[in-house]
Amino acid sequence: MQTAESGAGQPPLLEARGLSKRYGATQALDSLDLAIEPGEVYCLLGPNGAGKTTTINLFLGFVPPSGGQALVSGMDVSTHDRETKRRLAYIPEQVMLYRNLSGLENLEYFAALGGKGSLGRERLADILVEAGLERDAVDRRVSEYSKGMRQKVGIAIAMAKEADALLLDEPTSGLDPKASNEFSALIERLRNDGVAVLMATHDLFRAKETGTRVGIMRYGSLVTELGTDEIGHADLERVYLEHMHD
Amino acid sequence: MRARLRLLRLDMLRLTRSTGVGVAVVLLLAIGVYTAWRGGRNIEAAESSAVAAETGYQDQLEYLLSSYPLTTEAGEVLYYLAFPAPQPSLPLAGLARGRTEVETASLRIRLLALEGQLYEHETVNPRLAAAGDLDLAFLLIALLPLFIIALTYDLVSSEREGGTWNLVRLFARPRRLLALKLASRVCLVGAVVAVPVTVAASLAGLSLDGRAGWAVALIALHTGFWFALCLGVASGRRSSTANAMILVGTWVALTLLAPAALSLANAILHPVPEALELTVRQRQGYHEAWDMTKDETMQGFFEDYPEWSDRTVPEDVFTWSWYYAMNHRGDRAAREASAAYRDVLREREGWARRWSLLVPPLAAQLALDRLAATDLGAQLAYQDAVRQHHERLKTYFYPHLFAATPINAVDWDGVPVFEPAALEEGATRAGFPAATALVLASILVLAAGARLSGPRAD
Repeated sequence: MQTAESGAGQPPLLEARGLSKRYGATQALDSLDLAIEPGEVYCLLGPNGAGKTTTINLFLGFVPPSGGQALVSGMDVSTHDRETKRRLAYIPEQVMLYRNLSGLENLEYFAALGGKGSLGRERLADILVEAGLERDAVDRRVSEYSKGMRQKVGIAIAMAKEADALLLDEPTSGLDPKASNEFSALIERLRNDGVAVLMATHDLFRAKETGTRVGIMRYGSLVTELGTDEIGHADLERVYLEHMHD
Repeated sequence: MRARLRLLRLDMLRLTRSTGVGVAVVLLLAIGVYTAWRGGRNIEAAESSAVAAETGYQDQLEYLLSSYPLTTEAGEVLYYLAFPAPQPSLPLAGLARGRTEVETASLRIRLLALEGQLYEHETVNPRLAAAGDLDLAFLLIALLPLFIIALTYDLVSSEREGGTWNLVRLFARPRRLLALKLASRVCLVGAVVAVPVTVAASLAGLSLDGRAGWAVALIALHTGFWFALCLGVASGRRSSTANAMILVGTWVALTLLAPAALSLANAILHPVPEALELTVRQRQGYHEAWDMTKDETMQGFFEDYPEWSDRTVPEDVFTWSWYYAMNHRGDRAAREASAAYRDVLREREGWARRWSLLVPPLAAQLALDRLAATDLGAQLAYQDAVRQHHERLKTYFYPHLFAATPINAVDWDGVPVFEPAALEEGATRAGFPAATALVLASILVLAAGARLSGPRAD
């Protein structure tokens, strides 16, 4: 199991130690060990039910672990709920926003909720544009937005939060190729800013393009881990399919 | 602070951009302002009625004195003359009409038998009671909770069902979010309450005395009780539909079923005869005297008024002193039943006050009526004041009746003026038990509501 080196004695931004989750008789996640450093984009690949979303939910503290630890900057999520959540941003597969507020008002709302109430409306509008939203769309109600536009507001919310780590759960699912490409560019920017990214995805191409490391999961276990600079697209697909067969 | 205000503004925007909320706010404000205006009109009407009664009395007296020869006995004029007995309304009566919807506090009484006159209005238009009326208290006690329920039933569940819950709880503790959403709703409901109450206060000339202070406190606590109840239910993990059903069911139970059940139980436990029966008894007592000797009739009268027992009434001649004694006989015949009737009404009132504490909205309604002096106690006190006035009129006029004084020899300017019933001393404190019940119930629903409705949101 490959583990990223921690710089200057600092704990990894995201770390799983023997992390497990059981739902009744189902072992959703089984002793996961993982470490993600600042500036890393770690892509979790695997079929439905492999444990990708469970891993993200455990880091977010949305569900308690059955065993092991999910750590954010060395702090256990179970015991440091607020401190760890403060360092995290999250973009789900479907970014759901308040439909009767505009994109800008949604961003304003979440920014204020996250303690960034001092950010002015102009700055927030700029963040939305930086996230890829058209300038003339920022004041339109979210009920008029496409899925891609909502995803961009979701990214803007994450950017405004200035989180240390970003957790993405199938963020490009349902996006057209252009929107997916823009999305990858944004992730690249965040990575360059030193944000640690954990992304669950089915999209092998996007994982190879965006990620620095790829982990393949099956039946709740991490079965293999690869550096994206070590392999090409075709190799990644081959390795993935190999692991999907018993 | 700035972030909180920003959040509050945005949450208010979210609320007010909903068409349903907008329509409800406009509707409630319209009904609220209408009821406030109507309350003001009712007070004005009561005041004009009192003035009209006094003017009517003066006009009638003038007409009678000018129509009859000056040698006419006073008893003959007194047969027709109606004396005004208006009870002034408190400004709060514009907010809570209570029993004034169906019972007048501005009687015009004649020197004849009294009992029938006290209840005469009840037999005139009983449909008024069935139709009811819309006052501000009804809006605030019965309708406003529905608006609170509509605003809060999905406080948490809407986030969960709308998919924003996970995003939101990454930014704030659920408790903080709940507090924020609750605050924006409290502001909105507060505005909806404040507008009609301010209009009512200004139209009715309400000053902030002890009664008004308690009324405002009760309205605030009652509103708080519904918020507490909604919070208790809505902070659980149930779906929006389940929350709505629980809350609307509770509203039906507390606002419709429980008051009706208590009223029914009260009526069964404390049966009272119809007021009409008292009128019939009084009429029978009066009419029986036609078949009796005048002396028999007068003996009964002298038992109640021994100070005139040395007066005699001829058997073979009509006298006004005998005629009014005959009327008094009617009141004597109904006296026992009348006292029992009032006693049972007082028992009913006491029972309702005590048991209403188990149904906080009802307790608030009854307390508001009591503070506004529009409750049953105030009505009974008014009737007692009318009785006393009737007695004062008798005391004033009987010497003239026995002496067959002509109308020009009566000092009409010296006729006793109606002394309104004194305001119930304890009424100002009437808000205290209801307020206590509301506070305790709020704590109870906050503590137990969520437990009963499922685990807390997290």
